[in-house]
Amino acid sequence: MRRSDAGAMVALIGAFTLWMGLTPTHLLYVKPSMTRWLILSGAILVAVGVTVVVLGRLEARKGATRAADAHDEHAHHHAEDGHAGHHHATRIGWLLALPLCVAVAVGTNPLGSYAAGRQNSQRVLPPGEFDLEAYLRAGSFAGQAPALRNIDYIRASQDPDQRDLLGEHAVKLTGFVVDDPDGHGRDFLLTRFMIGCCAADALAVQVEVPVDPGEVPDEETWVEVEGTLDLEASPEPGQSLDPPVLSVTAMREVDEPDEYYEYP
Amino acid sequence: MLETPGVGADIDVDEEAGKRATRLGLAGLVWAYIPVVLIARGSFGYLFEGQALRNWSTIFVSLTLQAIPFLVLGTVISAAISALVPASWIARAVPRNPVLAVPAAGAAGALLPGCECSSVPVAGRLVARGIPEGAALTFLLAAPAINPIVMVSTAVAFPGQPEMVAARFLASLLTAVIVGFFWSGFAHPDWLTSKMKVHEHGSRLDDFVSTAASDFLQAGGFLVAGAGLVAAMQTVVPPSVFDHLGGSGPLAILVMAGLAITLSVCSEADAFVAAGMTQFSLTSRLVFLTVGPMVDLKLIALQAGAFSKRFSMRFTPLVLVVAITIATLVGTVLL
Repeated sequence: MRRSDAGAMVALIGAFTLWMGLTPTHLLYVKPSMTRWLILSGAILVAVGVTVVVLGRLEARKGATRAADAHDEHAHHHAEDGHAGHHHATRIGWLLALPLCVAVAVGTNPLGSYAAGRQNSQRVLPPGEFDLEAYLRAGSFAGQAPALRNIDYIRASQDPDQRDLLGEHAVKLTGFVVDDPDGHGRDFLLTRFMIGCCAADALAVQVEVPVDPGEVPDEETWVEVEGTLDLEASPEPGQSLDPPVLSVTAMREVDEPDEYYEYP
Repeated sequence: MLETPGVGADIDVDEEAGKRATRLGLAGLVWAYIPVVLIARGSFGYLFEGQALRNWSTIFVSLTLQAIPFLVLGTVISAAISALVPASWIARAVPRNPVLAVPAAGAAGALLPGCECSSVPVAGRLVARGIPEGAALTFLLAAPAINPIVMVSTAVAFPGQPEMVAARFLASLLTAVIVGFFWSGFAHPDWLTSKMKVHEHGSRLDDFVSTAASDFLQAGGFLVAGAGLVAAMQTVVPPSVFDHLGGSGPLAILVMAGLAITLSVCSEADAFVAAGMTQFSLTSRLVFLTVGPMVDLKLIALQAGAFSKRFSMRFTPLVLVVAITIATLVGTVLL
């Protein structure tokens, strides 16, 4: 890779990283605490790349002048270097353009129903605490049903002390629709992914939502559902990540949120 | 550019060799993949659905994006060592005697707050700067496994089980130090050559940015290759494969080591993945946490990029055997 190519390549990756970090797009891939590091590293890459190109140009011009002045073979050799090559990185560096190419060609997509349908079936609740009672007491919800994250809903539904509260109080959940392979068209799985670091370690967190036969919304539609826990149909308290079942009182379509994933 | 012609010629020769090794190393990875992909053939149809491609692209881009800040940290440190720290200072500061240098390098690993993507360029640069090989490799293995961020995330993932944090620290540090000693004692000097280039253009600024750019492209290119393979793996192999695996015997340990290699989860997040795999014994999950930050597809690609294929072919099996053995021993005693 020539010096100017190497510099341009580094600046390009920097611009890609900056663009990701400055728009909500990066939240489709990594956790929000990475935002500032993406912006910082993108800026560093752009600065390094531009400096490499500019210094290379200056040096090439200096070398050319020197060669022309003194017919100095050594300087002449290096002047040609500046233009034509002196390899600054092996060709493998070109591969760094691939994520950008892929993001452009395939589009920037979050994990969807495909990944949700391919989760390991023996799954346990990830570690974490959620105190539903304190949450209900602390918040003023202006007469509305309080909104809960899917992961907190499942934690509370698996907790023998909190479970009954979910049976009495209606809460609001937001997620996207994934078909239930065992549902026979009578329910769907309201799904969110929880990510620890990036989308490569995502865990599907699902709640089963019964609907009238044939009324299942299209897959990957974002919906907000309101309802209470169906104590009989939901799995027994324990450590399982099996979907609890909601008794729905209201459901509406919503826009895809910027913060696409849930975090531990 | 103030290189002497001799230095320039050396670099060119190295580079030709490096290019060949690069091509061979990649071919090797592709070959290793063929049996795995054949086994997963039942799911091959997924590849051609748009959904699978989208899934692959999401995992691929997220692995790359997640790694870029750590890679930048690693290459900035690497370039700073190269351009700002004189070689003579390093030679004086680092003990030549591996008995001192190796454990010191292991302890120094605890100071680099990054994942595996930062430690590879730094270790490559240290070797290029003449640090004893065993010590640089100990640093390479220890840094991603025992730094404070990883320790904290392990403690969060295994609440009420501080012995898991202690076991992870101990098993990782021991593995890194043992591999370092072993390499110091038995390795042939030809096995390890750093492909990190030295740029001496004259001005410090030029040296710094040139080194940073070439280190970033070198390591990043390999990282992208590794991320592409990992994403394909996660997309093609059905997770139900793991449903019927579990237990606590030697098989579970080997399965978890295999999972650590193929999943290539970042060392900051792997504790959460391991915490969820309750069908496996704690010891086999400790093997997962010890092997993951030292040997996985993404890392093998990165290491082949920083060093050479000849190096990877010897280093990877050595680390794998030591890591599995030590983690099993530590797990049996502590967990």
